[in-house]
Amino acid sequence: MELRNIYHLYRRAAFGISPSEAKKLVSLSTEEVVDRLFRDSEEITPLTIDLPDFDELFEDGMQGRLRQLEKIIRENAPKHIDYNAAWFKKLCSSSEALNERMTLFWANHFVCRDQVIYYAIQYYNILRKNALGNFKDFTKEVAKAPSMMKYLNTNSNFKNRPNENFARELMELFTLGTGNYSEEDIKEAARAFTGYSSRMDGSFFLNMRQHDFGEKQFMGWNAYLDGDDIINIICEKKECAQFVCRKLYSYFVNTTVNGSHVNEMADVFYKAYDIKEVMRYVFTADWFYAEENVGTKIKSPVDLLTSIYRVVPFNFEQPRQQLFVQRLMGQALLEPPNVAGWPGGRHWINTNTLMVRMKLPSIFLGNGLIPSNSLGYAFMEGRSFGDRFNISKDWKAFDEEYGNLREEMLHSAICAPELEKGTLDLILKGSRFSKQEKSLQLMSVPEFQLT
Amino acid sequence: MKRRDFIKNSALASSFFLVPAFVKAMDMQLQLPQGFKRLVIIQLAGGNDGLNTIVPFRNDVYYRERPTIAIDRKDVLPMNDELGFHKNLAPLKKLFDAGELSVINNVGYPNPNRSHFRSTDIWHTASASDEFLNHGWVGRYLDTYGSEPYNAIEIGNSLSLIMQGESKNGVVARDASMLHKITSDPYFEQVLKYNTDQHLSEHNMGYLYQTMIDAKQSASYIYEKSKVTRSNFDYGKTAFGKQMKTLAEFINSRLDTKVYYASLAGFDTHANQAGKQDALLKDYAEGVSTLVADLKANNTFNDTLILTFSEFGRRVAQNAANGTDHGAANNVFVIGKQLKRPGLFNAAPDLTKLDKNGDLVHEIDFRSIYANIMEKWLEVLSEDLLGQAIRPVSII
Repeated sequence: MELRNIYHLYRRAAFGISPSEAKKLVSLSTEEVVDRLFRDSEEITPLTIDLPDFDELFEDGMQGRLRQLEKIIRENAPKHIDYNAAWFKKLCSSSEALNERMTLFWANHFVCRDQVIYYAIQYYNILRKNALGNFKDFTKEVAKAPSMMKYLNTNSNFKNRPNENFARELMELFTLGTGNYSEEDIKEAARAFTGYSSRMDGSFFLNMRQHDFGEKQFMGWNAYLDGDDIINIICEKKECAQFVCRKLYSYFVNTTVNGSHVNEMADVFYKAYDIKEVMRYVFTADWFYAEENVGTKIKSPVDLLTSIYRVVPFNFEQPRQQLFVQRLMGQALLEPPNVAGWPGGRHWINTNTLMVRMKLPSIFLGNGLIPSNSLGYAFMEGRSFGDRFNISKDWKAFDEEYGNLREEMLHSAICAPELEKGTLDLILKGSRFSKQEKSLQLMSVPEFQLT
Repeated sequence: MKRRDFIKNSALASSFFLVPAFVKAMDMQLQLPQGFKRLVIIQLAGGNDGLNTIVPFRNDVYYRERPTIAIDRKDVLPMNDELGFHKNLAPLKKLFDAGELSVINNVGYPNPNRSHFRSTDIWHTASASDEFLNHGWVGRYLDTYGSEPYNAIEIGNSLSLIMQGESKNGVVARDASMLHKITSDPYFEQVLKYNTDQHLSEHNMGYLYQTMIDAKQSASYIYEKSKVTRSNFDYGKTAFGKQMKTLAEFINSRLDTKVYYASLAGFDTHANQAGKQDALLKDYAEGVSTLVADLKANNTFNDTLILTFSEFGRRVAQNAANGTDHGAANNVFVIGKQLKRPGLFNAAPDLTKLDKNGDLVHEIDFRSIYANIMEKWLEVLSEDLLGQAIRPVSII
């Protein structure tokens, strides 16, 4: 497999690959490399942090001790910063990289937000468990997750007055997309999801007194249907496979969607809704490696951060600061803006975020000033602009991986697109700079914003 | 079908949208009209429940359909013998009494869409319900009449569709001094100096370079021009309050900015609506009224018009979770000194004539409000920006 393609595959399907690892894969075929990627994600480890207060309470048979639960929830609120940090670390360093990439995708598909960290962790681990599994089972499990039931009000969806929130978003955002269902379908589906409830520890049960056991007229059916039935019927429609594949394509391949590629994917996906199958199809397709799909996608803030980490590993001594940076760029893990998730693509970029994004590497890793040949730099060199963050960085790891790379190999290991001629002139002109300084320059050009 | 194909195929799309903006720019004599007037647009995102905002406090249907969440008569601040403000809108009531607020009832569009995202797009692009446009109407305004990216500023974190044009985008500014500091790194100057030919590219790379150029131009302009203006009004500690304060400082610095946009989110009250909406309305009313006071103190209120909308209203009947589901027509607020008909602009919603979903039917098309603002406030031809002739409704 060509080096360029190895970098591309790992940038999109995982969170990058080091030059030495990539070099090892050159002798393998594309299929073999893709196999390797899947094999590394066969065993999935959930991501948890210690929450002893919750564990104790639930072990004690907590039923009826609502007030104590409320107190624990309040006291554990800052834990979501710890989980954010643990998640970011997992993105950067887990061997289950493909599964983590998929989890991040699903977190922006089955969008949910829960302030109660205990349930939020349960939710994200449901995403991890199903990320490469069966989409139908996945959707059913998401529908029954306490966080989702709270977020889209299924837990207050009663037979006398159904709440349409979940039913609408299920069809609009999770499965079919607008135009493939009617307002009547929403009303009937809402009835099928009545009575969905969870116990305090998060386990699901159907509240028989609030569930509507009557017949529902839904997409040609006229029968008693429950929530699982609704999801089965939705998945019978090819539009569902189409819709999900379109989203996968726009996330993994190109935000400008090629309809015939999506149709190919949907044919594969529709057979059994096997996520693994469709992803394997994408990563082995010729078009995945076509020029228009390499180095042309705008990085999400999380991608930007993990790609900086791939060059020079860094660690925030105060996790709160890391959360601050994520928020500044508009994407904090665990904090999606609304049920549609982050729109992605060019939406990440505006006058404000772009400049922050291009300046980050020098703030994280240098003194806050990007090395350059200009007089302004010479004037300010030596002064520190970057001491606002408390970050440790591993330049030794950089020297080992990148220190001996030839000039053009350094470029392609750091930037996904080929450098524009002007950028190349600029970087080469600064030949007096060290590899470390060059890496900062490379991470501070617009090209580095693309993957 | 791709959106772009749809536009090409749609009989509704006027040829206007197919002409690239730079061609239009060459065609027309394009200069901003004399006399500086600016527009502030505020979106109450999530679908504000208009019926619990402007409350029909003598309407039996209202109380029957909302047994647990209807606002009690005694908690309403009456506007007449039929409608009244939610009590947390007391600061708005003052503007209402002073003739500086028009409340327009029953605003919407035919075949309402009840998706937040689609309906927001419709409001932002000023499209019909079945028409898909890729550019916002303020963006189109910039395409045709704008000279600098900072002619339209969004006070927030991301650039909304309303601000995105074909050849020009508005800018996002939240913290002018930080943006200025970051942007003035000498390296960025060099990056731009060395790149000249990518700028017109339609690809993401071109977009990045163009945004970088916009950022450099805007950051120093906004910073230099606004750094001496510091508001001493108390905007509280909420995020929306801070946005309003930034807005006041920008306006009072008399930036060359014609349109500002900000949004306040959280109005999607499917469950336990009361507490949430109460807090949001308070946040909104206090923020906006402080802004108005601040502008008055700096003699900029006369030249400022503030439009507030929400992507849709909510269903007349409540749900079982003490909340409301997505609805259709809603009220719109216009605040300014030069209103044609201050106070209640039109009659209260008719709760006995609902659509088949049980939602309010619109009486005024939102695009006719836009048309009026375009013609009378921005002083441009509304047909240019709306792609068709729409009869304006006389608000200003």
